[in-house]
Amino acid sequence: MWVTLDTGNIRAILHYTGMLVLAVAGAMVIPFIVAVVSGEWDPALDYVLGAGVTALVGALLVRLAPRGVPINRRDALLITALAWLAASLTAAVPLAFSGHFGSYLDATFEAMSGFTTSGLVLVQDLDHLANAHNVWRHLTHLIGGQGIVVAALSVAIGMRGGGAMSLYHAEGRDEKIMPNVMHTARFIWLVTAVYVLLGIVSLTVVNLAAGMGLGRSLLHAFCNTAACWDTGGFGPQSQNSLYYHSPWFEIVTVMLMIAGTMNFNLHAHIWRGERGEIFKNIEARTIAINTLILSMLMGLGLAGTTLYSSSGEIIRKGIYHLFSASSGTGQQSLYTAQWTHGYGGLGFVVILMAMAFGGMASSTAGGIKTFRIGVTAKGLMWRVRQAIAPQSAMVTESYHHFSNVPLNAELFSNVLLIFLLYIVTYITGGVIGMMYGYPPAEALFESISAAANVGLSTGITAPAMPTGLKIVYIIQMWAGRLEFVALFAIVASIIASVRDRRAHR
Amino acid sequence: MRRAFILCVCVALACALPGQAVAGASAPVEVTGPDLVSMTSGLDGRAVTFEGEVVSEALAGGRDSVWLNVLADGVAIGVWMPESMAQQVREFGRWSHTGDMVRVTGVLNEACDTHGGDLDIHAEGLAVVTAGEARSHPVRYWKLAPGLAGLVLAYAIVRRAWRREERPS
Repeated sequence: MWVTLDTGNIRAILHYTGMLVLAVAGAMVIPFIVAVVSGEWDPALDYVLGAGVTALVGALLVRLAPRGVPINRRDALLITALAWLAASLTAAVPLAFSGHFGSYLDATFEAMSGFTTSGLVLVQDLDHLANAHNVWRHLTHLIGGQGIVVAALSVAIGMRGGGAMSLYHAEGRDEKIMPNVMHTARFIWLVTAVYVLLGIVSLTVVNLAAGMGLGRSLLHAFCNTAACWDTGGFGPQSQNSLYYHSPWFEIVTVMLMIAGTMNFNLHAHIWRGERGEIFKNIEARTIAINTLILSMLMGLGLAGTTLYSSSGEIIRKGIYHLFSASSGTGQQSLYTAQWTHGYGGLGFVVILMAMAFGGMASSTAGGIKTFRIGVTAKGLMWRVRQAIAPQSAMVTESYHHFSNVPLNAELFSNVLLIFLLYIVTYITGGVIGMMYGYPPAEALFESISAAANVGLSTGITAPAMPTGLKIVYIIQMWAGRLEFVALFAIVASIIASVRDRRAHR
Repeated sequence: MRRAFILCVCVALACALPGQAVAGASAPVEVTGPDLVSMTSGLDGRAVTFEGEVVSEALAGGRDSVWLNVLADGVAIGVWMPESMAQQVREFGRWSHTGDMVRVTGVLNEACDTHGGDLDIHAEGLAVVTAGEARSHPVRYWKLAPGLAGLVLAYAIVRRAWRREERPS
């Protein structure tokens, strides 16, 4: 049965979306300060204008319902889906005025890519972009990576109770790390603060050693830490990781990517001293097996090429990009043409698989997620054992994910459903890319990169690409980050409303 | 017969050596930035020359060497060179400045063995073509009025809504 939204529901949904928009306006203070400190007066005004427009939109939405208006699970799904869109549309305002984007759509693409920690870029002349705009781009990674709705509503605005927990789940997070959502959100921000601090200090040292000034060292360290810890993929320079020409930079960023792709609940267990969980957890095991197999295939693939056959090259061009792809980060030290010329077929396929599988659930990573890969593998083995067992036998299967969980048909089918939705989205985006005339391999690569929120690119994502494809990738990034359900809730609600109106005529 | 053979060898050497010298001194190929990263140019390991703007800063490149990142036709490429060669660059491109335009001559490596497989240029020559200069960024003050108006209106709307909620019904 489709339940139609009444006016009260719609007002509540828009009220909380407005709160989030107000939070985005508040976050614009940071790039404004950076602009003032850097003497970038025109970009500073971009943020005055951006904050003004964003705050006004937010205020008009907030006034539609009283504070603390209760919401149900369906409302939470709709708020979450709308919140990510509203955040991207408003965060794009200052970027659109920067003069570095071809259109407002391009700026919205960049903002959606930032919030969803995808990392695909449409910014032009990045090497001359103002510090303020670079900080804002990377701040979208930091806000989106931790969970935009939970961050805004639970921490900044102080929403409590079941509504906040519904929002937390609606955002694609399944883990209940702490007893309530407030503590969970605060824990997520605490872990983030520690890793961001470690990342900034380490990368500042690397940058200073490379000869950068202190100010630029700090700026680049912040940007790259946000990009890697939040598995985003933006960079402050057009060459991305290649700009630094530094193995030390690559080591630090890979460590941040690995930390970023870990389930926040696993972080919590490690912090509590329960390190044994790493060896038992289905996600940790699956990611270890995945990485091992894909690394071996990558080594084989690159060893067969003429360009990247030495061990150093296999590590810096193969394993670095493997971690970048599987964590959903998208940091890149190759030019776009190198994926299809010189990297070799096997290496290319390994990167495709790593992007498609993704990192752990309840992390900042995207993709199908290793939890689902692990459960799917267990489920298949379970089905095979059931098939070959005597009819009277009761075949059971379980897995360890912070506790021992029995595998049942409902869980298995839920996992397979999301698995299938990702695959369909990857292929659909690829087919649309092909319909625009792009070669199949590149079109599929770009589609997976968008839907799995990775950000590696074969060069299709560019300011000159067709408008339709830009919109397709925006939807893919949005859907992939929310793991589809929240987006389907919007579509279902719209269909139900239209049908209801027709019935009442 | 023996004399004839020695004569032939001498003639062959006389022809080959200048040929080698001519080949070594052949002019570098004039290219654009996109040519350098296309991977289909067939220029791997060959001497090339191109012009571009030096951006951001010189980064340490090992013993007495530095990296300059040169933006050529929208594509930035790492150029590795001795520190002394890079000292002629005065201005680096960033938001506030256009960097020096330089003419780089060097060997293109599509996957450099010295630098972990990076696509780079090992410079053999560098010349500043045009000095960098400050970029003009006129401040568009018109943005101030709608921005501040939006903030004030937003504050007023939210304050009014919250006061209305607090009023006993």
